[in-house]
Amino acid sequence: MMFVVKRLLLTIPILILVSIMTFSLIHMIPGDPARVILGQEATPEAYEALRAELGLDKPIVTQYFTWLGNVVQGDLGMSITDRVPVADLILQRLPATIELTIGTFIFALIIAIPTGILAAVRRNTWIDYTASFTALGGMSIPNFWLALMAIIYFSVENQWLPSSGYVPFSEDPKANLMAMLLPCMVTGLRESAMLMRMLRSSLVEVVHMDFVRTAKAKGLNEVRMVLGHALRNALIPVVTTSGLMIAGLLGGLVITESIFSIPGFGRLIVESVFKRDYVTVQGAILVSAVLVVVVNLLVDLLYAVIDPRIKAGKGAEG
Amino acid sequence: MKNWKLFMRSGMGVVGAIIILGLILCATFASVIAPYDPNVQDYNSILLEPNSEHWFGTDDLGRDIFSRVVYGAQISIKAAIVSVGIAMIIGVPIGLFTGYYRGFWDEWVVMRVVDAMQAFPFLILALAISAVLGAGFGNAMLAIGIGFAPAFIRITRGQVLSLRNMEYIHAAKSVGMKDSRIIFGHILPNALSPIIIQATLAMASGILAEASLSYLGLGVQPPTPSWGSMLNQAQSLLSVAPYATYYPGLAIFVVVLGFNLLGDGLQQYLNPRTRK
Repeated sequence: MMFVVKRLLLTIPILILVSIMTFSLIHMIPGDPARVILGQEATPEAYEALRAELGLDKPIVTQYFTWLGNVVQGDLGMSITDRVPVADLILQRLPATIELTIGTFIFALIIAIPTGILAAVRRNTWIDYTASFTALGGMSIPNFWLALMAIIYFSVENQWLPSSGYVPFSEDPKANLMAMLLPCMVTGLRESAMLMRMLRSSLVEVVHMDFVRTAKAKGLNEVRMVLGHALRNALIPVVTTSGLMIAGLLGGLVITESIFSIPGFGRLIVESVFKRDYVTVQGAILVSAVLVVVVNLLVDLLYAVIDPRIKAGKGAEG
Repeated sequence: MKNWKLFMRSGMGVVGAIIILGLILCATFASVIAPYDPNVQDYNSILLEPNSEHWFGTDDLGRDIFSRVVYGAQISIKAAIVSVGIAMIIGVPIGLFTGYYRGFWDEWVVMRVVDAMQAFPFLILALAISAVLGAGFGNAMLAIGIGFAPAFIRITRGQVLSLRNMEYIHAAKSVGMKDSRIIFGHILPNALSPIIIQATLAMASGILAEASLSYLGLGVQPPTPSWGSMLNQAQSLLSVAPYATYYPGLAIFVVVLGFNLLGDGLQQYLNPRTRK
């Protein structure tokens, strides 16, 4: 219980700092933010109106607390270009991103778990070397290049899968799955490389522990020993890694969604950056950071549930 | 000599070092290696497939892709050095001082700021900073460098925390040695191994991040040849000239793999637990 309370309390200053950093974003714009957003040709009336809308005419501390007060109530401001609440824009875009994230994780796990186990069990053999080298290769491939290569092979040369576009699952499940297959595969391949490396090293450590040796000595066959005993223990650090992956994955989705024209959260950020819609950029960045903080919190709490040593205080440090 | 032999035994690390050496040579002697000016447009040679004159073919403006890939090495090596350099200039001193002095500033200010910074997805943070400061190589480097700094703060601080209670540090303090001399003369040299490993791996991420930002149009601006921006331009030619996407991407892949292999090799060599 103490661990849970301590972990929750630790989240508060992080969220406050995240809010300050996000708020500062607009103030990092060199020069007058309203002038930069509107351009030099803007009328004085439009300029004053935007300054008032962004609250730039008030002292900075007042601006921050007004903004924070609104954010806490779910008001992330009004998009400068679309004149729609930013929160609505984000909510519209989230389903596609969530679907992409789930699909990516499924692909990553399908590839990472068997190869990770095989590499660990056949440690220091050609299987292990090949799997480890391939994983390092997977981590080195730029995902936008991999996506382009996949489009060339699966869409341009063979017309097996669509190269871009998105249909909501509720409208046409088959078209949705066909459109999401390639993006999930491309992003999942890269994520699987990291998971596989983590699972392999974790499993290699566990395989040498006393309880596994005892199970072996008692004549348990290798498959049962690995799947029934070693894997359960080896998965603990993998769960943490999966949680940490969410930050990298959200960043990666910015690119994947742009290439495959998926109207998700990442593409919203890129579009807003090019439209100089700083209010939307600000809102989207805040949401992504809060998402990462919350997922990390959940992973830590889950970690405490599956590994009782954490609750005993070992993991509560730092 | 013994150290060199030990490193040579980590085969993959050597392969990584050779790849990076190749990148450095390519960047340094780009004008000698490249057969054409990377920015010269030849409207008689538009979208030529790879052939004996244009080894990697030409793009939609008739520019030689091989020459552009060779010159792109200059941007990539700059990206690796500048982004990691910025991250180290920010991260290493902060990690050294906070780890050494500890207290309120370390626990409640610096480490919490680091936690908060690591909450932002790296590429999204870099995108936002580039968006605010404006597109371009310099701003992209600043954005990537700021994004990498927390990792260096954490690693350096962690090392200092384990070193500050060593007997030789107590001995240095007891003879009245100044803190700055202890930090830079005794702690830093002993904390360098994991910082070097982190720097090598961060260089791989730095190249990837620069390529990603340039691909999105927020990094290096045309016509300067950068592998990321070349892929951006080649994307619209996928159905007519797929070869235009092969080589810049392959170059990023090989170079990033090189840094990752070197990082892994150094980890095995410098880490006493994995060193045989």
